Amino acid sequence: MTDRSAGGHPQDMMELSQPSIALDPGPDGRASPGPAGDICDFTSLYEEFFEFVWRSVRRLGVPERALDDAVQDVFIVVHRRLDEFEGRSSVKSWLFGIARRVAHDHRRRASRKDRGESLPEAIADPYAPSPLESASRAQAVALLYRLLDALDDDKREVFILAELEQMTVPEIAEATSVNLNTAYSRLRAARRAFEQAIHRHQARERTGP
Amino acid sequence: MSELSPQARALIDTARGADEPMPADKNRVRAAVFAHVGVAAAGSEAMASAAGGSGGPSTVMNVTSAVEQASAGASGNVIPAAPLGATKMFGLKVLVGVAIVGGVGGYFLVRGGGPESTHEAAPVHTHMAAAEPPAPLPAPVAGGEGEGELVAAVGATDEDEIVFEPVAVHSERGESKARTERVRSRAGEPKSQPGEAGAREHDPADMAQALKEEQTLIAGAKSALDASDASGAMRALAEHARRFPGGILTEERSALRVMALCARGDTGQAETERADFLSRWPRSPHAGRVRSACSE
Repeated sequence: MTDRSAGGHPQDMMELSQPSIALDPGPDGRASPGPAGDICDFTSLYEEFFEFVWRSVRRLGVPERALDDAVQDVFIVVHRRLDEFEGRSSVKSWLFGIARRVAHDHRRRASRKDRGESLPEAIADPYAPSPLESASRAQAVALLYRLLDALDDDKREVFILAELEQMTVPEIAEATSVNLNTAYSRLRAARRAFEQAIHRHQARERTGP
Repeated sequence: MSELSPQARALIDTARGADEPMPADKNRVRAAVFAHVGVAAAGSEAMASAAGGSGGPSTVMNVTSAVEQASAGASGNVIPAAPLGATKMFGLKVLVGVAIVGGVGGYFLVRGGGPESTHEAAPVHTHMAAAEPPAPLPAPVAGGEGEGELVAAVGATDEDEIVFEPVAVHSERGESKARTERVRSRAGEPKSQPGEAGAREHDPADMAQALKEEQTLIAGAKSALDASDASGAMRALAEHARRFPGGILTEERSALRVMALCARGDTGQAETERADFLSRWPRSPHAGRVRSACSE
């Protein structure tokens, strides 16, 4: 993991239209701005949402070797912008908005070496069972990530939020900074693209150069 | 809104929750983050403990969860940690496919003629050129691939309405070369016409058969290439392009073409098609081989 305590600031990729994390509730149940950079709030935020940030960054395609740094960068940005959160969006939406930018930056910098670059050699029987049921969870995750790699960034983001995080489309629209119609459209396209990726995977498992 | 197929849903359900970080991951990143922002890690861990352990709820976070729910009507959706951490998973080679039984036909119902790129979301029927007669099989001589090899990529997304259309480019030597241009479709303009693959798109049995035929052609091309028969490979690929211009294995066909062109020393054309391939499928699992095809 990169030591960022020696002045290594992550690139500030945040131009969030609605930066806010309100950790103190208002009388209406909505959050009101909490104390700027409140250590206690940040700590709680980390404890509560670390897993969400981790898996989001990973699902967004950050290579494993860069995962620690990427998650670290997300929380450093969160800490810096914590006092700007106003509670107009959900915490998850806000965090994902940060995570997607950080992930994009890390992906861009990362080598593509980790991407599968070997062509499948075997020509399998097209009718031989390749049962999902027998796949371990780890294999399923690996396959899922490979299929996610087939989606472009926009579709990948909405797909992750909708299908894996089970967020609502309005939340997704917030998290990805698009309007509601676009979010619906992207989700529809993402589902279709994911199905196509599965189809392609099936074919590759059986045939390949 | 369209829903995912049972196969896709099953995969997601299986994978969800299995890519959680391990507690050690959380502790490791916590130490680094808090060192950076000036919070004592020990203090943060104490707080985590007081809050009920790693990831446990705190008063503050209960509030934030309430905010989330009030904001979006969604649950906090904190997925329990799975025994397998992401660290353990990503080195694994993908060995599994998605269930075929009962699935191929279903996928093909969605897939239709197939997209040329995984980045093209909405498959539009692809075809070489229905208005043109099928190109003849290439003559079994070096450099004999003809227009039938033109790879016509046609696809569109819901959002940008970008499609690929075929453009035949004749070189000074009179040979045909493949070129793909991105053009914007116009409202009311038919995006496709039925071709051999397109005619099968609504019949799952036919589609499964079409895929099998595609596999046979691609496998033949690969076998020829493995046997150093680049021309034979090109012929098989040309046949695939003629019969399945927008087939499910178009990406594989294009990758093999680059390799075959390299194998027979046509590095100029290989370079052109390599650039096209990498542009259209930058995340392809074949990208590495395509990049290094002419240097192998």
